Amino acid sequence: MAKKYDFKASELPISPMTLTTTLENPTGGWRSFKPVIKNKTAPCTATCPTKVLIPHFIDSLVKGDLDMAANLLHRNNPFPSITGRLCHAPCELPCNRGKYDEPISIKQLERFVGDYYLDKKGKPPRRETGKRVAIVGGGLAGMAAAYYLRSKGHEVVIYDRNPNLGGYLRYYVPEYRLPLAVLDAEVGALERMGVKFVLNTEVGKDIGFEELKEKYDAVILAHGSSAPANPDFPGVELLKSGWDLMKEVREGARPKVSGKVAVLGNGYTAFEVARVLRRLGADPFVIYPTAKIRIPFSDREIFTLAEEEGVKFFFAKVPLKAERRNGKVILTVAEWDGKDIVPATEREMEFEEVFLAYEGTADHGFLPDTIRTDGTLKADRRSGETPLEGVFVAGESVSGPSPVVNVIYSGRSVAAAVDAYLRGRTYTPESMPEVVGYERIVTDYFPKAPRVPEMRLSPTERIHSLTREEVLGYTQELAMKEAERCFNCGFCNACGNCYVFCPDYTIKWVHGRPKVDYEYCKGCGVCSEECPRGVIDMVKEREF
Amino acid sequence: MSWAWVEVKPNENDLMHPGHLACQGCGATIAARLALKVLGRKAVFVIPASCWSVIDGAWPQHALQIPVFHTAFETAAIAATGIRAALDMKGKHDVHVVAWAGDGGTFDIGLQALSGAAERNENIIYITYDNEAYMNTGIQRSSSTPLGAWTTTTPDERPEDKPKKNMMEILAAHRVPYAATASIAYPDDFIRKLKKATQVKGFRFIHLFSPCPPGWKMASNLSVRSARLAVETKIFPLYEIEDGEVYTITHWPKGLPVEEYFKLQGRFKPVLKDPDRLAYIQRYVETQWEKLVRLHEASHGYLPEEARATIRSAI
Ligand SMILES: Cc1cc2nc3c(=O)[nH]c(=O)nc-3n(C[C@H](O)[C@H](O)[C@H](O)COP(=O)(O)OP(=O)(O)OC[C@H]3O[C@@H](n4cnc5c(N)ncnc54)[C@H](O)[C@@H]3O)c2cc1C
Ligand SMILES: Cc1ncc(C[n+]2csc(CCOP(=O)(O)OP(=O)(O)O)c2C)c(N)n1
Ligand code: SF4
Ligand code: SF4
Ligand code: SF4
Ligand SMILES: [Mg+2]
Repeated sequence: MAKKYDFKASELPISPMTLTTTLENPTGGWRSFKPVIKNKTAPCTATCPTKVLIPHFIDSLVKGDLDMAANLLHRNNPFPSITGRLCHAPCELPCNRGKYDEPISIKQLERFVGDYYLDKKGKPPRRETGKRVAIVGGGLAGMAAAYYLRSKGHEVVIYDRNPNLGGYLRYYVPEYRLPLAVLDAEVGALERMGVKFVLNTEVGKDIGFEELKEKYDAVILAHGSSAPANPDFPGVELLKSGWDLMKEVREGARPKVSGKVAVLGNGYTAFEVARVLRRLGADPFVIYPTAKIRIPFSDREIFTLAEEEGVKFFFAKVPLKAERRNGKVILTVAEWDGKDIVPATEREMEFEEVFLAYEGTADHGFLPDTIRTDGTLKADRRSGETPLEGVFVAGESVSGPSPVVNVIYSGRSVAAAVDAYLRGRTYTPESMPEVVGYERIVTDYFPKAPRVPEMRLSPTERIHSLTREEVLGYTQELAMKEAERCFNCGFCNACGNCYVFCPDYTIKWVHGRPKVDYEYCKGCGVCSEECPRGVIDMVKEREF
Repeated sequence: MSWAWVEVKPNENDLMHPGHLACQGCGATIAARLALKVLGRKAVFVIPASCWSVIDGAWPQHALQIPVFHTAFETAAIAATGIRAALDMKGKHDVHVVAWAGDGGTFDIGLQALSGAAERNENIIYITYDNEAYMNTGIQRSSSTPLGAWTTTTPDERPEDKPKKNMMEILAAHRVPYAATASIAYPDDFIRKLKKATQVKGFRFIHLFSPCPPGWKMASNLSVRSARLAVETKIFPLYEIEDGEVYTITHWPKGLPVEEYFKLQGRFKPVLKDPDRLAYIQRYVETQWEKLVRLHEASHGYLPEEARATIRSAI
């Protein structure tokens, strides 16, 4: 017989009491979907040719850490003060904020952070690899490649035939678009990093290409595409060079030009030459081969500025003949349908002067035949690899005329390929995680706010100066205000929403970041739904 | 700084263990987590029969890291009153006693005890987490169930035909020192109100909107979103009443159409199929909101700029 258990009432608690916690229930087993915290790609970054880490650097800006912002920005763009002024900003087109009110002024934020950091940057690498790279051409492409290769610890020597670095940016882009002081500061940073320059030295004339190849572990060809390429029509030799004009003006000359002048060209440079002529006091007309709607997006901003300033345009027209009569230039033009001259549309026009501003072409004359086919370089689009071992190409020398940001990307990706080559690794082009669409943004968390306008001089103010910058940068206050508008698409900025709303307290806050405790997470999906920026995905746990 | 960190500190007063027994996405657990972030360890919860009797864990388990006293369905206010008295006798005046009850336990069966405690101005905090039905027993209607909603006792053929009982007015009529509505979708607002409540002596009441995904026939990930839409459609306004007289609206909603909120939830399927009823509810929401705005105006003598956009008729 069982022993009767004898107890006193006082030995027991006065009411039933709990003895343990619910931590004994691993409720993670209830889950059908699991939350995965994973940064994605913002549409702006996806569209930026050089893949600037836009939500990342803007987040640091919002948090007031300007040095970190600069650091993140420079990861994929060594020259934000240049892109912040010259880039056509394709990144702003798909900006998710644009679907809500107005896109973020990414370019201005880039300029603000770039300018803040301009005199601080330029640290030598921590370790030297002992590998040596020669770069032919110190334009933007060569400079970008030098920046990244030097920061990886390689010895970098830039050869340029000019007395200073910058290429187009130094000798042709007008001061009102890009002050020389900015370019000089970027060059100064390269110098501080320990990049070596061999100036006034033309490869193929003052030093042979073969010699470079022998002396260095790798050679990057970044010689641009600035050889003149004018169309051939009778009298073309009577016309002036728009390029020379740009160069003179950049160097400080102010040639007298007045009255009706024409600019012949097939791209961006024609618009810029016309703008310079307008500032010199002339009444310029651009004669442009395609229809107005065919102006590429990258050239549209400059076109609009030129139009505002009173530059006039003749679209879909090509020159057939030029003559000089009584001190004037008589230009015969005809309509152009994109393939042929439209019959019976010839017409004479009279100008004081006509300037040629056709886009240049690359001169590969100093290179061996093995690297060329019919005058063009054979190279991989991303890595810049050529059929010659250890020889790579970057920038306009391979792409032809291109916007600055594409040239920067070329320099950056070729630098990555060269770095891989020097270390005996295979180069893998960078991949991007999936892009976060507008539907993933929880706009409830963002009050509507208009874009902080960029401050641009009025057309009348603009045409009165060849040196005053036409766009003024943001102040810190304005930059902060604009930065706060950014959704930070796909980039966890540690906002804390997921932590605050988790009904199971299974999103823990570890070292300032959210972390899922899968032992208990029931997979409700609230975190994913309330993450304002699409960072958390719900992934199927199992098939049934 | 993100809005969330204005009132919340990471890893401070996280006093609810995981592993509790709430359904996925339960608003009532978000509610308790946030409340404890303000109250800290020096608090006692008194929980009458409700989902929370279960959520806290089956014996011998316990999810909250503070003492919880489980009590009978109708007794939250009076049990809390008793615990308050006992703690006071022991000199433990700094411990908050919180009656934590569902809408059924508050609007219906617990109303008598609540009214008594409110009238006596007992020094307790009464928080009703409102999921708009008797969820624990299988989704039966309560007097908090909103107009047009399905429950198992108001099926699709004859959905709830009476508007939700206005508890805040009942509390105002008791002239309690502090009464407020709050929503789990606006933690900053809720936390500010609860902080304010802790600084007041006497009977304090918070009507806390807490969605119930299964009871509302809604996916679990939508609980915060639905709570947010209830506020932004003016269906559940966020405001406070001091001393039963001074009304203050604490969040000016966007004034979205009520369908935006109804669309997320299967329980409103009958309304969505009935345009007349939908229009009626929209009108009802507008008039209730306008009344509230006028009370705010009467209390403060003016209306802020944001108020204008939320009102249809000229003011
Ligand atoms: C007037 C003008 C305005 C522009 N404005 C804009 C703008 O607003 N936005 C925009 O996105 N883009 C603009 N661009 C385009 C931009 O300037 C180019 O994308 C960029 O500068 C090209 O860089 P790169 O390094 O490839 O070539 P380059 O700048 O041409 O550099 C090539 C360098 O190689 C050197 N070199 C060539 N051959 C040799 C050799 N054999 N030996 C030694 N050195 C050699 C040259 O001296 C030069 O320094 C503009 C271009 C012009 C002309
Ligand atoms: C006197 C009494 N009647 C009925 C019940 C059964 N019962 C337990 S919980 C509950 C519903 C509680 O509803 P509510 O207060 O809204 O809380 P919820 O479950 O929705 O969280 C009912 C009817 C009971 N426990 N005691
Ligand atoms: S480099 Fe140009 S495209 Fe890229 S982020 Fe900057 S402005 Fe945008
Ligand atoms: S909101 Fe910010 S992160 Fe998103 S696309 Fe625009 S700039 Fe990029
Ligand atoms: S909710 Fe905020 S903290 Fe959580 S993952 Fe998204 S961005 Fe990061
Ligand atoms: Mg209930």
